[in-house]
Amino acid sequence: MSSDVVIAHEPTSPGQSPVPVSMRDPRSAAPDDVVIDIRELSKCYRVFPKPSDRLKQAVLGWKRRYHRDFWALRDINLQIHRGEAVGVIGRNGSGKSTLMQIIAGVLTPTEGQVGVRGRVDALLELGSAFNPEFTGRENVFLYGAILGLKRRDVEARFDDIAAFADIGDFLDQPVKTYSSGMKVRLAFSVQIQLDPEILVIDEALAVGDNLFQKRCHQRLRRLRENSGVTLVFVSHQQEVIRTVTTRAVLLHEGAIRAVGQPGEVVLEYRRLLHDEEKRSAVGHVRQLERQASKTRETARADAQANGTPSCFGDFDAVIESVEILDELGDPAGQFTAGEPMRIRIQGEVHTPLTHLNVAIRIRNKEGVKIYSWGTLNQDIDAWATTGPSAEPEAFWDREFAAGERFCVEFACDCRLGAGFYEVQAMVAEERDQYYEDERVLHWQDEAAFFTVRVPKDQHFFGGVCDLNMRAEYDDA
Amino acid sequence: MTTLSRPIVISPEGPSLLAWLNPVAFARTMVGHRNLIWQFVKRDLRNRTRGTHLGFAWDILNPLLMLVVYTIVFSSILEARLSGKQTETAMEYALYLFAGLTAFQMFAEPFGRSAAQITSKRNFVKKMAFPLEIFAISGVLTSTIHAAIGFALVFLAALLVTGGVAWTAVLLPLLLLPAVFLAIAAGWALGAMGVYFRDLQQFLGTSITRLLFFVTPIIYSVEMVPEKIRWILYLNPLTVVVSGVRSVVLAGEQPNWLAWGVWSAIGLVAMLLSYAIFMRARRGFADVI
Repeated sequence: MSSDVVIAHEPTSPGQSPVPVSMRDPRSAAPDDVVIDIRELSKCYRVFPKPSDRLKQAVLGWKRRYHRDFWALRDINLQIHRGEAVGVIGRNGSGKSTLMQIIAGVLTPTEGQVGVRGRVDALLELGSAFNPEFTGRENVFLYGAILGLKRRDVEARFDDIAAFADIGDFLDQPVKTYSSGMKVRLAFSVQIQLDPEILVIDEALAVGDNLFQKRCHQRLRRLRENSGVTLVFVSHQQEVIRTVTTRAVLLHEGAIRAVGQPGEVVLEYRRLLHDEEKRSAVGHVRQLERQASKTRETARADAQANGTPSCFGDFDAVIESVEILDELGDPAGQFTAGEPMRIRIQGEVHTPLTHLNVAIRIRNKEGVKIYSWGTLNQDIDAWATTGPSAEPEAFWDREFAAGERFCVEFACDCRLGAGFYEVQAMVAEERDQYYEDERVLHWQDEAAFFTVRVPKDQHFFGGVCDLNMRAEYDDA
Repeated sequence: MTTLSRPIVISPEGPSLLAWLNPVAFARTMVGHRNLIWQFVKRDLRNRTRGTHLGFAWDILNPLLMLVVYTIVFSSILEARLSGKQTETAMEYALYLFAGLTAFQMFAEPFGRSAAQITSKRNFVKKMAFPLEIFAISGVLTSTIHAAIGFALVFLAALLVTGGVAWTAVLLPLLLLPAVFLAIAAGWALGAMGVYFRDLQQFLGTSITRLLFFVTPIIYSVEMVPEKIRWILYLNPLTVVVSGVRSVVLAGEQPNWLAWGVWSAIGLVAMLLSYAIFMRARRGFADVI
């Protein structure tokens, strides 16, 4: 890690700026040059489990709390100097937008304060003040008024605004006919003609096309270098952060994780993303292990407490483990096309039950259901040839006593295309033999994962599944 | 580039309720936003008839058609009269009704929408630092302009029917003042409440406005109400406004100045108070909307 970057794993103490001295613009040695001074800033949202709890809190709030606190920002300290271009990055929900909204004066902080010198023009969402029924021209004047410009000021700059927006005849069409890119172009053009002092931009420019984005960034740079405009912006485009900003801030879970030279901060961000990805994969395995040791009662309580959609049911029977195995019965996570695979589901029945159906479903990364199969499907197959209940082996007919365990293995040759797959597992009590009426006892999303590789040099195919095609052609 | 001024501090506390109760600062902000307010009045006015072929003409046609409908209904179908005035023609009654209704609408229109005033402007709350307080003003100004068109028609019709308008008609703007103050006050107080209690929107625009219509002497006159319960009418500020408007415009009589003065004062205080409440409450708007 270069010395230009301060990684703040611990919250920085009050008054101590995480900005390394080397990053400061030489012109801005005077403390007066701090245009945005964020001190010990925290923002807490109240999260109400039910909408009615909000009313209860308002009326009976002195008695007890009806909400959970969610700290979107925790103890942020940051000084931004005049003429700086500060980029803010971080994952979704890391507090970026909340920070922008507080600087823009839209949100009130819970603790700490922000001192702002100069007028803040916030593009939290470009074009959000436009009235769709009016023409672009009319909206330019309205927008000018919103931003505090007199009519004649807007008139004087109108040609510049129109030229930069470059939307041609659409200027005299109602804004409702605009594409989102056109709206952004027009709004941004008005905004930069205003002699802004501090521009706060929250991902607004990402909508424009590449050429327009390039022109925006050039213009922003000119504004910054010639007029001393200060820029603060959020972007998910790491390239933009690296090329446009003079300093970057990485937010993570509401706190500043790193601040300093943009390239280094972007690198730290990517490191963070990688770690998170690894952790989430490990997390799933852990969750599974935890689930396995759960009794019916705790599983039910847990599912209700979390309200997670990933697990639900009556828990009269629970799935304790879902394993993906290779040919030899060893746990496996990766298959090449055509390889045998088995999915083993084990669980326990808590009350005497019959007519059970244990099933799996495979989804790809995009969430598309690729395949589902269950013991009931197999039973239906059997009944089709021998008539209902004639087959004594049907899983359907098995009677489970309380405490009895079940183990079902689904075996197949893996005919899936290259990719990452999720296995969902379910145990249900069926009331008829056609999937018409079932009671889900335990449904587990993301019960297991596996990846499929399609090597280039043997049986290579494209798409989500192998149809095992044969090309036939005339003998030449 | 302007020189660096003293920083504006955004902090959890913010100015107190009392700090907002400053009439001078209040007046200064309103004057400061006059351009913006005017833009939104224009936007409201145009928005209503936007996309129609006749455009602004509808703003005149609509009340005119309403006046015609009333005249037809009351002259040939209902033959309604305000009690005690046997000389009165159906046309005069229609005019009475229309004048009262115009004054009532001026208040009821922004009042009915007040609770939804902020919640319907999500972008202005969440996406920019916008002086949300101007919406109460621009809303009432818009309805006042609509009322002005209505009253112009009343004058015109009165000229045609009775051959002249009493000089007391010049008092009309003054008489409307309590309704204007109270409508703005409602815009702030109910607008802020509506953010936290959305249920307010559900009955304010319908039940409450309709109830208000019936406890205001519009389709009847104050004299028609039994004296024992007449005082109830005077708890309604619109009674003073509506009957006062009729007195000065149609009857050429002086209104009840005492009641007018009381309600004007109450309206002014209510306006300042609800402004302070609004400015205090708005700090939490973005959290809730």
